[in-house]
Amino acid sequence: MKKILHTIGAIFFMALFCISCTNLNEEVYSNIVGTNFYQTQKDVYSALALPYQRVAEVNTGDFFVHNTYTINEITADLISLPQKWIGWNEGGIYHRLHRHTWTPSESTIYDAWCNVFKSIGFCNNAINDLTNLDYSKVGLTDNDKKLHLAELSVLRALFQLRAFDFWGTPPISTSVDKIVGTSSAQDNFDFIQKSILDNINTLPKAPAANYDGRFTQGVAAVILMRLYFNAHQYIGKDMFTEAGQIAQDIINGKYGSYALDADWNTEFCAANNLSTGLIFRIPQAKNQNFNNYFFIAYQVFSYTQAIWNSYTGYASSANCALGLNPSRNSLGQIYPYNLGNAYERFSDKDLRKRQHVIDATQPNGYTGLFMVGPQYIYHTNQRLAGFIEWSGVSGVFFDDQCCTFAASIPSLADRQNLMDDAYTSGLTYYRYNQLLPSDNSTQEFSGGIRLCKTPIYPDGDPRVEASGDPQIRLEEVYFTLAECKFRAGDVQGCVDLINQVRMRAFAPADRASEMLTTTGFDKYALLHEWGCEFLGEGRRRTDLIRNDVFLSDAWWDKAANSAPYRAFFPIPLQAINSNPLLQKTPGYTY
Amino acid sequence: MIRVHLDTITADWLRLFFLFYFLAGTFFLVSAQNEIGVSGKVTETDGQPVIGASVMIQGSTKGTITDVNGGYTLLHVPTNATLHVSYIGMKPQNITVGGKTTINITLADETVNLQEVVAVGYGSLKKKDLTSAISNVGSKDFVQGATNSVAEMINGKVSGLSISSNVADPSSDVSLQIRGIGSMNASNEPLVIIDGVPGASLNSVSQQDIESFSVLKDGAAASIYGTRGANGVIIITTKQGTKSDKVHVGYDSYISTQQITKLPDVMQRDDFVKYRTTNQPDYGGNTNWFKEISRPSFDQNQNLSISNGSENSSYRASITYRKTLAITDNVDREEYGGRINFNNKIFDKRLELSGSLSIRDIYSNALPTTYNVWDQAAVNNPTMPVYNADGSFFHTGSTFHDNPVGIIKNNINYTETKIENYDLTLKWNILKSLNSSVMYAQQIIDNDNSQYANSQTEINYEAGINGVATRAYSKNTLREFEWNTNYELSSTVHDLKLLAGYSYQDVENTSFNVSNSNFPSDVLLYNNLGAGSYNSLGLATMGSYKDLAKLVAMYGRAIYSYKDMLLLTATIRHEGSTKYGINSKWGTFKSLSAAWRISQMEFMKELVSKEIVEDLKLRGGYGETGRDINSPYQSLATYGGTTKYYINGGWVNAQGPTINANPNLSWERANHYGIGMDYTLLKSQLTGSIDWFIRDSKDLLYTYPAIQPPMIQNSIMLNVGSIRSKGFEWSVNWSNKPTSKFKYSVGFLGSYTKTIVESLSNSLFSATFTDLYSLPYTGTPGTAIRMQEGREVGEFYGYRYAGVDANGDWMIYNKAGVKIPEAQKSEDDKAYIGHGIPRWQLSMNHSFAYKNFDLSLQFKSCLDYNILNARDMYWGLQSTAEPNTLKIAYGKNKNITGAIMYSDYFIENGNYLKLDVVTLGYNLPIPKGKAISSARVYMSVNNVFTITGYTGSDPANVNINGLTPGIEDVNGYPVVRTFTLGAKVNF
Repeated sequence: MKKILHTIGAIFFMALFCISCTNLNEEVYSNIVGTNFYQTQKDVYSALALPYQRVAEVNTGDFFVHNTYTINEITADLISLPQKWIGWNEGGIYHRLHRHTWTPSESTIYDAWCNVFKSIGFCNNAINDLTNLDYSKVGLTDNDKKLHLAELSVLRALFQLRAFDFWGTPPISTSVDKIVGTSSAQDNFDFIQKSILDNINTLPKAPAANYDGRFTQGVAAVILMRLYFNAHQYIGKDMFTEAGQIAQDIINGKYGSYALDADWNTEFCAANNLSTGLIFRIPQAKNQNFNNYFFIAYQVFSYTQAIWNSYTGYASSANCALGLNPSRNSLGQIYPYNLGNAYERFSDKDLRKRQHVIDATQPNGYTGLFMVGPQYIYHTNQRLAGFIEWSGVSGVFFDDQCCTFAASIPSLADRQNLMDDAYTSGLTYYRYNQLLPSDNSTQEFSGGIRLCKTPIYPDGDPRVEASGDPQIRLEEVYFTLAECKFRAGDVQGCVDLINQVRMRAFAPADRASEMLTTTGFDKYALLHEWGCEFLGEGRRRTDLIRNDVFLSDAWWDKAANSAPYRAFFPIPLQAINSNPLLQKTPGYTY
Repeated sequence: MIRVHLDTITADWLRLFFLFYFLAGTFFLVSAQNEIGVSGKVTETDGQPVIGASVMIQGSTKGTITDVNGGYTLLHVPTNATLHVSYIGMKPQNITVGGKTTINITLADETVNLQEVVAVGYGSLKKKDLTSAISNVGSKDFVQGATNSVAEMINGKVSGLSISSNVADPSSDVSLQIRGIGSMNASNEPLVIIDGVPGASLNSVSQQDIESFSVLKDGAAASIYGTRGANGVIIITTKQGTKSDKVHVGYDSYISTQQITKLPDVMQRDDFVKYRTTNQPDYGGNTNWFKEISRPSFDQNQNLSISNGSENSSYRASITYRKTLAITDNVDREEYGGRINFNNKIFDKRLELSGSLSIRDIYSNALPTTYNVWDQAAVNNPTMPVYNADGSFFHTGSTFHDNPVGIIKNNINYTETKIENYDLTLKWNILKSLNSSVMYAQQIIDNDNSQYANSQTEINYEAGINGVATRAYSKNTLREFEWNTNYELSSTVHDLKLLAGYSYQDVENTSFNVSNSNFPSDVLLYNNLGAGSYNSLGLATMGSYKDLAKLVAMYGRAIYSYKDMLLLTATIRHEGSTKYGINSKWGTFKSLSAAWRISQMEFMKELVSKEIVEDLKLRGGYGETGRDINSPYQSLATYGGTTKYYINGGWVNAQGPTINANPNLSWERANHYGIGMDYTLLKSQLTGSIDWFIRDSKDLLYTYPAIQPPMIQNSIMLNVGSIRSKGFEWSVNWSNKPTSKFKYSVGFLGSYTKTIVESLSNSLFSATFTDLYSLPYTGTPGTAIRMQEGREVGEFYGYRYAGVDANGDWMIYNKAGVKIPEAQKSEDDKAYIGHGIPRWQLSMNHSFAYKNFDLSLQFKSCLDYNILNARDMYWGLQSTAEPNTLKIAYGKNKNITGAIMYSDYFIENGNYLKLDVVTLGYNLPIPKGKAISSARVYMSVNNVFTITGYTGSDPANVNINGLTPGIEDVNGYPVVRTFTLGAKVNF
């Protein structure tokens, strides 16, 4: 009996032990679980920072392929991503974007969709979290809360405007869990307008303390200005008067004080925190964050930047994805299109139309917007060794062409001769004696002119990675007002405004002769100015659409008269597959 | 907890067979009539008396045991009773008394095969009592010779088990798969259990320490492992000390070497200069890169063991040393292992304390990770010299390629791995029929990896970086606690075994890594991380990580046997894991299987007595299992974000949800249905089994495009979709009645499996297909494999080759079957162009023994499948991006100048037949009374020859497991033949 009691006792004890080991809540160590995220003020700012961190990607498009940047630039006339020998074919997706033959299932368009709605999701999540958070518990006030929610609403409006611009009838999502379908264009318009009007007065005016990298009234006003400026495309209604009014108000200082900088490159240089023309910039600092991938996308695959620029920061991730659309054929002749020819639209005296060089004697310490023509080892006269197609040849030359020269020349000696000629000629193109095919499949790895929108400082320079990322510039307001005046028939007013911006790109001696006049100034001239000033800033498609040339006109490797429905991108098939409430974009064959 | 579940769920079964028990007992009681006395003698077939044999009156507990002369006497035996006579190792007999008072009985040896003890999970059973598909391989049947993984020791020995590995790389992992594929995002590898510890590492045990592998193939058997049982279970049992009057010492050793039998057939200097120098420079050298990076391999493995046992305690201890110098220069691996197993019985055998301790240290220099050196050797320009005139490494000038000799010499990838296992079991024999035991086990795997790429590697040389050093440490800790209680109730007619248990397991992973670059000198290697300059530039990287997952389970099993004729097994497991969503933490897994021993039936009596049929058993069962989620925290909306943003006057990490939460996330379910038959026929000469099975895998874990908006991230892990595997597998063994001089046996086993994607959708998330295996970057030929509802897993989906045009550009057949140029192709023109899973996997084993010699041959074959020869696709065309090409680019493919395109031109028939292993052994004649009790030497050759039409490397080297089978990836790794010389001596 005693034995049985012992047995039962022991088993009972064991059973108790086992029952105590049935708690299956997860213990998380190297991540933070949402439910206990908000502990201090800093966590509130971390949550607020996340949508801000997405602005670069959605507004200008910060990286290279697979995003908002690609679909707004490659579909237009200035930037392209041709196949480079066997690289960058990616199933022909960039060719289709360039040639306006994209389909509803393109991964790039779907990725852009995901990026935009991820950003909107972050806004909704932060709005949801912060609305429910007791600010007093983290040492903040209800005023802070009101301000933060206003910032998030305006951020969401900026992202929604991008979705609106791309897809025409995107869903309006304001909750973290409600599945919604497509919304009408008018609803989108009203939502964005209301988001700005309801919140603009809560935001501070620039200059405001601690508002570097955050939205002020000026940013909200620009968003509304963009909405009105392109209203015809969005809701079929011209609102240039309203857009022009906001532009004028911004210039007049109604939403904060701004002024054009003295030099063309102040907004892009390392010290752009001192710029008076930047309405919104993303502060960057070495070892903190550096998201300005402009130069990576335009750099050269399999060759390190160290040699070019003595900058090793992104040596291994450089991609030769993007370049300017070529201005010339293999014979060196300029293409006859009304659009495109990105490089040759710049005046020869333009300070921007030069090889990018860090040079202390220049304003803001550098000059040139491009890597063009012969390339040398940093601050030497020593040629770089040719690579891939040009292996075995001395010299790397970025040509304003898009042809497979090396592959067309069997003899290594002949290749060297062509390279030598390119080096000594002082031109930006090869002088070849035959007409070679030139389209989106005929690029060389070292082909095409590269854009250096922000300066690339050498290793060890304190300015390395210190340039804030310029996102919204006062120049856009000037150009918007100029175009509004142009449309209202005030060509002189238009040209005057543009000249105020343009003159800074010339040496003082050249300024008088390089001023634009109303003579022959048409919408193409206006578009060329937009192109030169905002080259590679992720807005070209919108500008072309507003001026009715995006579909109708031809440029290099893009035929005239694209189908009318291509003014908007198709709501991606992948998104519709996962959410049947979304409707297909009319015109496209799904 | 256990009781609750037995009550609620198995109560019905329990009630049923208690009722059955009661009825049966009553029947025998009422049938008792007149009684007589019976006596006689029990002898073996050769007339020797059987001492201690049990003679029982069937249906009662009355019986006796034979004396030293084999004699017995039983009183009060009903005249119509049946006597059941049994003795271990002999075939039991039932004899009708029929009024006789003297009954002499001759017992025959039982087929050893049927007496084998097979591990079944939380216990073991005799093979003849199994009711489900379990294959057991004992040490005498292991594949002999050098292997990288102990799993290769049963390669070709278990039908339905598919093993893939890269023989030539000593650090490569082995891939195991049972009965085809069932999952997309969860693992398809079976659960490995070593000495009762689930999840133990295959690397923790030496070949020579393994006693047996038991492979639980069907759900009825694996169900007791719940969420981890769906892919089957491999139970490894290590050798224990046995009762003996002398200490056993064993020495087991082999040496082996590998010979390259096949390499990518690339051009050497002469051909290269002839064909490639229009586009590629001629550097003037003449280098066979394969020769430069390879060397004769050498592998040695030494194992010394000592074991002993007495009535109450036993032990076995062994140490192992292995050193492998791989065929790739500078790649090697050294292992030191020690293991002690012990068992002690104390307090009059009331308590049993057993346990084991094993430690294994592995030091390896693996291939550098930046470039695959064999690939580089294949594609690099053969006119490049290895060294410049000044003795420095020749640099290629492009980070696409590195000097292959430089890859090996300029990189270090050194890893120290320490695996420590221990387990301790305390078993309390409460009653003869009741015992309870607790086990605690722990496994720690320490992995310390150090890498250094010096200033001369191409990437660093080009970028002017003076060395990149990385240290990474990771630790995996597995803790297991188990409490098992066994109860056994048996009579001559009924036999009931009950098990109830509780199991708790947690697995913790921690890691950290640090990297720095640009060192003052290459001499420092990775030993002075602080000396690199990247730290001060803010470019050095570091990271650390920790996760923890817990698994808790309660389980029970009942095994009932009626007269050895009807066998029933029922199991249940209630299990939960921290990895699952908050709404679905717990699940219950049930199984029921039954076997009917037809050979026990009356109508088989004649066949049985003539020994035409010895044992014939029909089995059938149903089992529920699950597949675990690979990593923890998949269901939670964890916040994260390392990108900094300047806000409110300071830098903060911008943080938010990093995954879309799924509170319903749970394990994958798999329901198994199977019937099978085990047979022992023709005087035990013919044995084997056959099994038909269906496995329905449901609620598959799959990453779907999220509904965005409102979801934040663009994918979400869900339980959606189902896959069905169907097939059959068999094994047939024939062996002659062994004589002292000659033994011969042949085994033929194989499986046929077909795996169909049934669905990829549910009400909210839908997909009809998913594309897998993105073919590598060059030219971007897209994905190779499409999984589509209603089709098989692993089908190739691409264009159909229709020749080339006059310019050498590809032509394809479009959707309508019309030839079109490749430039006009569209997605619609793609078609299913082959399948990468062999439907038939066969193997055949022959073994001969003549006097002291033995010879075994093992053949292996895979049939009815295709292989995508991606090596030809990437390296076999003139347009290839690489400097060098295969000879076929200017031979067989000379008319093709188009760029890489994925089409059925590169899909080949993969069928092959291979003589996989030949082993010749000789047992030295040792006279009795010497110190040495036995000695054996053997020689074996692996990969002897292959008959195949496949033109790539070796079809057997192409992975056939997983979701993307049958792709010979772009890989220059050589095919090798291994020669092993071994000796085993026992003292």
